[in-house]
Order: sequence, then C-alpha cells, then structure tokens
Amino acid sequence: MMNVVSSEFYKIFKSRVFYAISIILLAMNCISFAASVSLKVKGKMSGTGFSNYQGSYGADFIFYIIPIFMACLITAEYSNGSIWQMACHGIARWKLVLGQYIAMSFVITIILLGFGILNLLSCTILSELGEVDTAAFIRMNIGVICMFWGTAGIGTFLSYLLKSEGITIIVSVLLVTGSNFMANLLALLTRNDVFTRYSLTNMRKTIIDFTSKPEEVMKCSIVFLLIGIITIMGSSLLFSKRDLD
Amino acid sequence: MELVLQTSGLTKKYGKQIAVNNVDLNIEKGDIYGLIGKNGAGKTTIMKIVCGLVYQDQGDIQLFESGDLQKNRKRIGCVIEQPALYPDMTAGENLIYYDKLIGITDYDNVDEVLSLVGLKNTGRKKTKAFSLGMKQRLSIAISLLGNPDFLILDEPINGLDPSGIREIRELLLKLNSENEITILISSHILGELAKIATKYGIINKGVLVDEFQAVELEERCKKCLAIVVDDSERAAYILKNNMGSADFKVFDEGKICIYDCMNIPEQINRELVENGVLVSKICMEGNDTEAYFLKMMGGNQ
Repeated sequence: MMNVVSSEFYKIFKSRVFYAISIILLAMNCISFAASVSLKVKGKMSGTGFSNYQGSYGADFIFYIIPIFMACLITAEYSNGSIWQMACHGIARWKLVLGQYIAMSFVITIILLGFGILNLLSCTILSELGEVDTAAFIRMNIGVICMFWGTAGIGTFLSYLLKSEGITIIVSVLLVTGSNFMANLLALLTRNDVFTRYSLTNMRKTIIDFTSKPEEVMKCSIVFLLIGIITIMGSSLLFSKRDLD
Repeated sequence: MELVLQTSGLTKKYGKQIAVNNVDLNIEKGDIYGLIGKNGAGKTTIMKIVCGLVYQDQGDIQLFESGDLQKNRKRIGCVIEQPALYPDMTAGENLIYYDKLIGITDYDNVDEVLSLVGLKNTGRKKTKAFSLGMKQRLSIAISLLGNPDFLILDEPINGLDPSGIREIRELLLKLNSENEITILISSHILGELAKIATKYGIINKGVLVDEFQAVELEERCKKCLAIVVDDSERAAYILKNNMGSADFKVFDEGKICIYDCMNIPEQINRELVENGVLVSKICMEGNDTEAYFLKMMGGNQ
C-alpha cells in the first residue's frame, strides 16, 4: 500500500497538472495581495488575516478545482495506457485506487491549505492577524480538510466511472452547479430543508463560518467524510470489478 | 518440467461474441511461446486475462504451478498492446515510478535496464518525444523491472526498425537463456517469431487450434516429394530396397512423403509402376513457416 502511495506522490510531482494548479492558485494569491495593497493604499482595508483565510474557501471554485485535479491525473492513466501496466503487477486493485486517492487528496490538501495560508499571511502583513476562537478555527480546518477529501472522492469516483478527462470535468462541473438546484427542488418537493442544509455549497458555508454551531460544523464535516468513504468504496468496486480493456 | 502457465477451459465473452473459447495453454519453464493469430483472434485477451486485466467468464489459470494467482502475478512482467508510459517523464523517471510501485527502493537497476534495451543515452528527453520504437523498448524495460520469471509481450516489436527488431530478438534470447525467463510473445511478424520461439500456439477466432514445439514446426514445414499410391506398404519396401531411400514417412490413405530423393521423381514413379504399384499423385509439398502459420490461422477467411 505504501508503495502505491509513494509511487503516486512521485507521479504527481512529475505531472503538469500539479504545477498548473499550483501556479493558478499562486496567481490568485498574488491578485488577492495586489487587491489588498490597493485597498490599503486607499485606506479602505478592513479584513484581517483570519477573515482572508476564511474567504479563501468562500467560493465554489474548490468544488471545481479538486475534481479537475483528480480527473486529469486518473483519466490520463486510461488515455496513455499506463493503467494496464499499473494493474498487472499483482497489486490488489482496491489498493491502487486507495493509494491514488490518498496521495492525490494529500497533495491537493497541501496545495489548497497553502493557498489559504498565503492569503492569511499576506493580509496579516498588510493589516493584522485578527482574533478568532481557537476551537472554531480548528473545527473549520478539520471541516475544510474533510471537504477536500470528500470532494476528491467525488472526483475519483467520476474519473473511474467515466474514464475520460473531458467528460469527467464536465460532469463534475454540472454536478456542483446542479447540486444546489437539485437540493432546492428536493426541499420544495419534500418540504424538508435537510436537502438544502446539506447541499455542497451550504455545507461549505457552514464549515468556514466561525459563527456556525459546532455540532453543525461537525455534521457537515462528517457528511463530507462519508461522501469520501462512499465514493472511494464505489471507485474501488468499479475498478476491481470491471475489465481493463 | 515446471509449468509456468497453465490454463484450462479459458473462456471470455464480450456480449454475444466469444473472444476466447475454451483455451488450454501450457507453457513450460524456459519456453519462448509464440502466440499466433490474426487481429481479433483473441491473443491480447488471453494475455490480459493472464495478467489480471480482464476477468475470464470460465476456466482456470495457474501460474508457476501454485494456487495464489495474484501473488504469482508479481513474478510477471508484461507489455500489453501499446507502450504504457508517462509522457511528461523521462525514461529513467518512468522506470523509477514503476520501481516504487512494485516496492524496489534501490534504483540502481534503472541504468542497468536502460542499457539492456539500448536507451541509456536518452538523458532528459521526455518520453512524449520518443519514437515508437524507443517507446516499445522502454515498455520492455519496464516489464523487466523486479527480475520477472515470466514475460508476457504483446506485439513487442511493432514499430521497430530492422536493427531494433534484431536487438530485441537478441535481448529476448539472452533473457531466456541467461536469466531463464520464460516468455509468452505475440507478433504479426511471423518470420521474426519463428526465429526465437521454441513453442507455438495458433489461435483462430478465440480457439487454440494447435500447440506444438518448434522442432515439430520444422518437421511440418519440411519440403518433401509426396506420392499417393494404392499399396503404401509395398511402395515403402520398394523405396527402401530398390531406390535406397532412408528418409520417408508413410501416412494414411496411401500417402508417402519422401525427404531424401526429392530430385528424382520420374525414377521413383517408374520404379513403383514397374513393380506393380499404382501411383495416383506425385508432387512437391512443404511450406515456408510463414505460409504454414497463415494456413493454420485460417488462411484468407
């Protein structure tokens, strides 16, 4: 298992998508910093380091960037045929899926946390770190990591299901954009707000909000974690049961 | 002799189409087994089943005469269909990746394997810039990582130039003789396959039509003067005693193949007739190996 994880790390660091996503996020850090400098010059800067860190995950782009990262890496195995070479070394297929998931999720977590930390640092330098309840901050970070790993699970599942980079990315985007609509529709039909409360966007909002109730944050984190576990089990099952043609 | 691969009743269907039909393969340790068949005959599917990429619908596979199939697959190296490489990595990086995957932590073997396949001087060149021949060589290099006991190579010489083909042939022969690696190989270049294989399996429409040793192939393709007579026993006596022939074979239905007096058909005919043996047919027979393979594969069907 560790062999698979270690080989996946090696592969990720040699891949283009790793550098592309890192550069995109770094560029976003730079733009955010430039905007903050501009506000500071105009005397309109009101944010703190913590609020900027919180704001780093305040948009749905997280739900797009993670599946894109997963899709580019996993579906490339199908397009260049390396999936055959990987699978013929007598390594259990579920181990290959889990190893890939762990390595990729770990890397994308580091990239995204790095993005948030850079935003925090840049705002702290220009303004101040700010104050926040330590427990809420820890809860938020745990929730954010669960969100990353849950979303990575969705990306992994779609990649193994669809095997095509383009289709996986399109379906991921449609899934995220359509999930809020579906949640609202289901809530309307069933007159139960559980669907809206646990839609991807609302769960993200709940997790990053320092004022959210701790139990709500925990619930959302657990839901993301469950999504991750279920999708990885599904991916392993798909990859194990299907022929590699 | 230890059986490296034994399949019994191997069957694979894709929908209603039977890709592999009740195939019983037997590959012994030290064999270079040439699997021959047309496109779509089922060669790649058999190889994929053995490697664990495709699941059979029926039948059993045994590797190295022991039951733990998945564990034994760790002793296999394979190249299936296209070269499976990471285009943004160099040759060495590709090998390091697969080394890591199979648990090799000492990467000294990378240079060794690269020089074995003639790719040592590729330096920082990414594999996406490689020619097809170079990719094929690198695929073979990957399959050699971990010192496998059994190599499965599906069309490994596709895209190679003549000198590349010769190098790969020599490499495979060396691996077989020096490292005692058993090889299962398929190729469309039948003449080339005939230069290295010690055993053949002919597959046609998913069915293993025939399985024979290379020496048998020579026998089957040997040129002879074939005669059909009404009394083969008497004809054999005459050939031996009157004509001095020592190398001939008597088959059913009065057919005799003569291997040592092929240049005197008229004398043989006269001698047989004068001694009361009726000759109904006399002709030269025998194939070159390629023609024989084509015939076995189903000709132009």
